[in-house]
Amino acid sequence: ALSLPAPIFAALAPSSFLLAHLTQPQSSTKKRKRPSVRPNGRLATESRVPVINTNSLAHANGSAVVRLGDTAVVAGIKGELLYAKDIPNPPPSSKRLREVGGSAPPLDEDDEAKSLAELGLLVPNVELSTGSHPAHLPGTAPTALAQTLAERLLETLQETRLVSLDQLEIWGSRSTMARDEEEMDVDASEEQRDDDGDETGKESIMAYWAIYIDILFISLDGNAFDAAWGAVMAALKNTTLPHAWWDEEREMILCDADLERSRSLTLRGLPVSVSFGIFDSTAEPRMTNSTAGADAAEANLGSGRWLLTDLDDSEETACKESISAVVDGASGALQLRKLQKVGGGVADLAVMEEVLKLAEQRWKEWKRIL
Amino acid sequence: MSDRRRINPPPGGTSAPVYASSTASPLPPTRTRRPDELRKIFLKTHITPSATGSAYLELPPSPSPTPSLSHSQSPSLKLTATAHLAPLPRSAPFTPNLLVSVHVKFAPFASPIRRGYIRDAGERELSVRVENALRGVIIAERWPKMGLDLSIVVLEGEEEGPAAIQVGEKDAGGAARKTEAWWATMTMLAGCVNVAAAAVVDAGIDCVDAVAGGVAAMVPANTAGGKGGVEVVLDPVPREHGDIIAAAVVAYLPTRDEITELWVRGDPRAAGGEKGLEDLVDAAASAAVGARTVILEAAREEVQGRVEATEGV
Repeated sequence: ALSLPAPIFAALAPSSFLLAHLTQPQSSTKKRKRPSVRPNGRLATESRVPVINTNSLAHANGSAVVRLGDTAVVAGIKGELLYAKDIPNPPPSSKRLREVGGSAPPLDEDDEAKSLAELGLLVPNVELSTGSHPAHLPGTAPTALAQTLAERLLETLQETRLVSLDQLEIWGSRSTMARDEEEMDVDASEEQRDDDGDETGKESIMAYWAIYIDILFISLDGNAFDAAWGAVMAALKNTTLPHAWWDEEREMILCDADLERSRSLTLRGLPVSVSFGIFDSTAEPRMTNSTAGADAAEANLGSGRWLLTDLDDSEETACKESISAVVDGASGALQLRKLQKVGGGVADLAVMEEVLKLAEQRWKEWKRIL
Repeated sequence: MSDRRRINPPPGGTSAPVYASSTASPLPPTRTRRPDELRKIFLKTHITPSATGSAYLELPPSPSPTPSLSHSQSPSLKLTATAHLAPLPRSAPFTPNLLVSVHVKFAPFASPIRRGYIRDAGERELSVRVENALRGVIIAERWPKMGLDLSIVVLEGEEEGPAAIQVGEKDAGGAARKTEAWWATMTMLAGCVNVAAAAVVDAGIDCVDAVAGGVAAMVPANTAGGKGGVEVVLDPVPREHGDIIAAAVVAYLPTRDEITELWVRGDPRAAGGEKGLEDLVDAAASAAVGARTVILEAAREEVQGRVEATEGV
């Protein structure tokens, strides 16, 4: 008979390879069903343990390295200034006023999320073409996966309302002289002049911090989104922004290099992303013969179907259906912040409940190290 | 400017933060190593399992004078390299030799001021130089119709954070920073050659010898009298020497005594006399010999680890 070494078999027929592992015949002496073991030695719902290192990069305001088995990600955060005068269509929230040194009028949470998205202050980007994987070679434009990842990160950042707008605002008051000059330059309408009259002794928003989140994959072995999101969370948690103020003389924002006066970013909650895949061996016509052995081991969704957590690269190619949940248990009970299910038709409500149960366990695991 | 394949910055455009000079500028560090002493090199191979070969290189930071936010810790050189060996696509024309392509990429957070993703001239120059350094070393005839994609990522460069600005003094600070960045590029090239060589060795690609990069600089002699002499130091850190007269980077093959890449900046003959250039290049080559022992040791450790792992099974 033709026999191939395991790595070649895995590369040629990832689905059959995965099935062969999951359905390895149990020893006849034991009566109890043996749980399925994946090619990487993990049980079906066993995840890789994340390892985090933070703030090892000197030039970044915050940084983290996250390892999930053979997937390794570096996230670096840099803050830059967006001057209010450069914003083409400022949202209403950027025209608020406050007493000098006073606190700003609070914002409605929906308004805040909308302004944050309109201003585009959070800029996540993902770079896969660092040689992290043979499919993403350097020197090419971002691949579809890289683009999807970046979009999903941005969406998740906006929908979880992780970063509040008020800590990105830099307030200051323009001197009356500067304002007069401006009025002479611009033929301001009567209405605006009235507004300016009210402004005396009040502060307005002079600039915002734009937060650039850059994620580089050092090595990619499946489950890119969980690793990237973990890195974003770890890096944001360790981000410090310098104390910044409006300098009237130079008409620019100056920052204080003093570490003591800087403040760290506070985040709302602790959302964690947990991804799953569903391996359906019955969907592949060529494998129906080999599914005969499927009863030998426990298929956790029954009849040749498995729910697998934290997929690696070869499993990702074999699983057609994937589920990704963003959950947050920081406020006590587990909250579901985002849920995405793509492809296939195996997952029913019972499966989704199982997914959430596993996600809660995983959230606790991440919480310990984040 | 706007890139449809990435998330773009706010349309108004952002500017890097400017730090006010609130505290007295810290004293620059001074060199505590002997002139012929290299910094310790941390090198680990096989960091990307899906690549044919890969390596991570880090140079230790020089001790930071005072921690502040613009540089909460001293930056140190951090590089990763991956080598992917793969058959060329069928559409590519026949080639009897291995096609080597090198991409050097700076991470956006690798320098004090954020960089974009578009490839710039600095990256291109480094790529070409690393490619030159490796081309003569790899035995390309043994790999017909194959391509080797080497990608080097600079996770952190050595330049110091943005210096505090003061009115009137703005330009002087900028110029000093620029020259510092200039010299720092040379150290970076040597690092790139070393990390790329380690990745090639890890990939098991046949080479005539293990190539290594080294830097040497000619600086004013730091003698007690302070009289005008020059000395040649290996592996310089630009911050530690106020003034660098000339510097050289070589990619060197010790067993063949061959240089595959040479880059000299400044005029070593003006200060060091007729033999100035020769001294400088010799010093850079001896720095390369030091780096080569690290590359070989890292490769040996990796192989030993794999052998032990298989024996254990």
